[in-house]
Amino acid sequence: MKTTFLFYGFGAEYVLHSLYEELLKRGEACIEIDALTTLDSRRLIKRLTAKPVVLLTSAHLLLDRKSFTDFYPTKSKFYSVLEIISLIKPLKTFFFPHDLTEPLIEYEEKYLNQLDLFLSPGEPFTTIFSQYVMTEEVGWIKYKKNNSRPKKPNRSKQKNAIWFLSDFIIYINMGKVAAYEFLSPILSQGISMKLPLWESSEEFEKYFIEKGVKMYPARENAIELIQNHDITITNGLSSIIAESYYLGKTTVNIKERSHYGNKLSHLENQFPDLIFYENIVDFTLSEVPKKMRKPTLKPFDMKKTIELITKL
Amino acid sequence: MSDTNLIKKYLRPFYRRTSKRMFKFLKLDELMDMLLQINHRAFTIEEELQKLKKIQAATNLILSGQDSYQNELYRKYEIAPLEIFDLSTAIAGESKSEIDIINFIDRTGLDFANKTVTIIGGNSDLYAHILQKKGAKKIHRIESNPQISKDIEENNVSFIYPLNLGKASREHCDILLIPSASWTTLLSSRSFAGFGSFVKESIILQSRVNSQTSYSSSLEPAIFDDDGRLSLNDNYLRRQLHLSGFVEVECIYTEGVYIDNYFDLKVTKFNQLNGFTIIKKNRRPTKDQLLKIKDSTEKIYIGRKLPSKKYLS
Repeated sequence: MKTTFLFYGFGAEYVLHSLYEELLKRGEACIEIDALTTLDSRRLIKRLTAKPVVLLTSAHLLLDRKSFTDFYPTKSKFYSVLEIISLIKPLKTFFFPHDLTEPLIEYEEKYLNQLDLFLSPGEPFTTIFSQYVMTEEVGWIKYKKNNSRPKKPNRSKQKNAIWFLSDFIIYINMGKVAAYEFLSPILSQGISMKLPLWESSEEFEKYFIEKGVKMYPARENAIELIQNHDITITNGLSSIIAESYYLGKTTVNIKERSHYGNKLSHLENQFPDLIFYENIVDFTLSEVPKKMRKPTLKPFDMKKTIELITKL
Repeated sequence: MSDTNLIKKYLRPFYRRTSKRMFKFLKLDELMDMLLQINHRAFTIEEELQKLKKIQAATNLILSGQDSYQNELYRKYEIAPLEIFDLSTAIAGESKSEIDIINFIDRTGLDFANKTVTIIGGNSDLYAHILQKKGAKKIHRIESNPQISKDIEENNVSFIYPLNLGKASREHCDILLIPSASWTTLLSSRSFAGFGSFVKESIILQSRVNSQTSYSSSLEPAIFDDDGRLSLNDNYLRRQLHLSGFVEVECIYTEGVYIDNYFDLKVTKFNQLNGFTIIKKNRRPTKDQLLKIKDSTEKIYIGRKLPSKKYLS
């Protein structure tokens, strides 16, 4: 019986689409499930019981329907990764982190030994997690080789900056008009913006464009945008912090209205050159120092990854 | 009017009024109260210090092997048994009958064929022998070593000081077995020495728990039973197991008087956002007057890495 490759994830935390497409091109049997957009993914998964399946996931291991719906109500019915492993007993399970700043969240480390391979974006994770599970370094999945060549560096004195807005739910609740008013002290300095892919992002984009802000579509590749700007602005905890930092760019983090949980000190230790601003009004683009470092982020090695996951 | 009368009439009331105001203004009464309280606390600290010194001395005697926990002297101090009983038992090695050992393995109902198993404590080679007969692929034993400074490795048995287990190198295994309640008590408050990340399938342990906690129990770590030993609360033990990487925990067997195994049905499940929840409840307990709050009993718990198919969300 032919092996089925099951790609599984949740909304914006699903980062395996390019890999799914590549395996399809090679004639493999693949199923792609975004647990949030598929109304009843349980039915699809139950059908895979007793079949040879290779599971590839970028989802949090313990995130089950109960814990998810308590915070984000959804009608979708789905299983957690651990439940899928218990149910279909895959031949192999591969895990790709979807967040470079925090590849694993609290308690997940203890379940790493349920995986067969942790596909690591790079150090220090390759070594740290190898205590619990086999690890292989394949680069950062959102960093494609074809976007590893940035546009010509900006030689003009004027710095160009982009803000990758996180904690978007706060601004959705605020409404687009109030959100613009709140963010305008930074946006009025000629700074462009990219919103996360969310239900309301298009509506916000339109309104911000009307207000004269240069907006990049939410679907656009973040790595390319980081490479083409001098300064990356972030807020709260997001993968963009690590992506920009490891690409050697000046990275700023705005603390106002941001949620860090208990991870702020972790952020300060992991990224010592990260520039923090307490309030939006404190930020002045001309005063942000340029801190160029050698880029250390490696592009995703598709060939190596395909070899690893098809080697059974 | 004489001088005395003059003082009585004018000066004394003035003095009284002024001194009263002065006392009130300087808050002398409050300061006096505070001084008394400080004095009282100093006495209490002194008493506690003396008690701790005695406990320390008792601990030293027990750990050096010159005395034993059985000495009535140590039962007089309520705090003295805190871990001393379990530490000294783990070091001396618990002795169980061969039948008890065989029953313990059988009651787990697990399939050990082709599994790698690590056994912590138990003080008997019989556990390994039984597992070998049941087809276990590889068995590694960890027993206690009374010497803190020296770990010994002998014929696939590591001898380690119990409280140093977290610093020792750990091997990956399918099943972790802790057949000694004293080892469980020591390790449960120490995140099972980090073994949770190295166990692939399940942990099986014997634990001394409060008899009544199978129905409802506190998240507080422990109570003391009538013999002055630590007895874990059921919910506390479950939480420690869940936080150590076991998504599902069930109690599978109860031993002891006045305990009806029928009631041990409780199964709990963990998720990182909501903590643990009860997915299968115990039946209502019978009103047994003989069951006291300080009765403890030994139970077998199983923690699983993956949720069982019958308890999927």
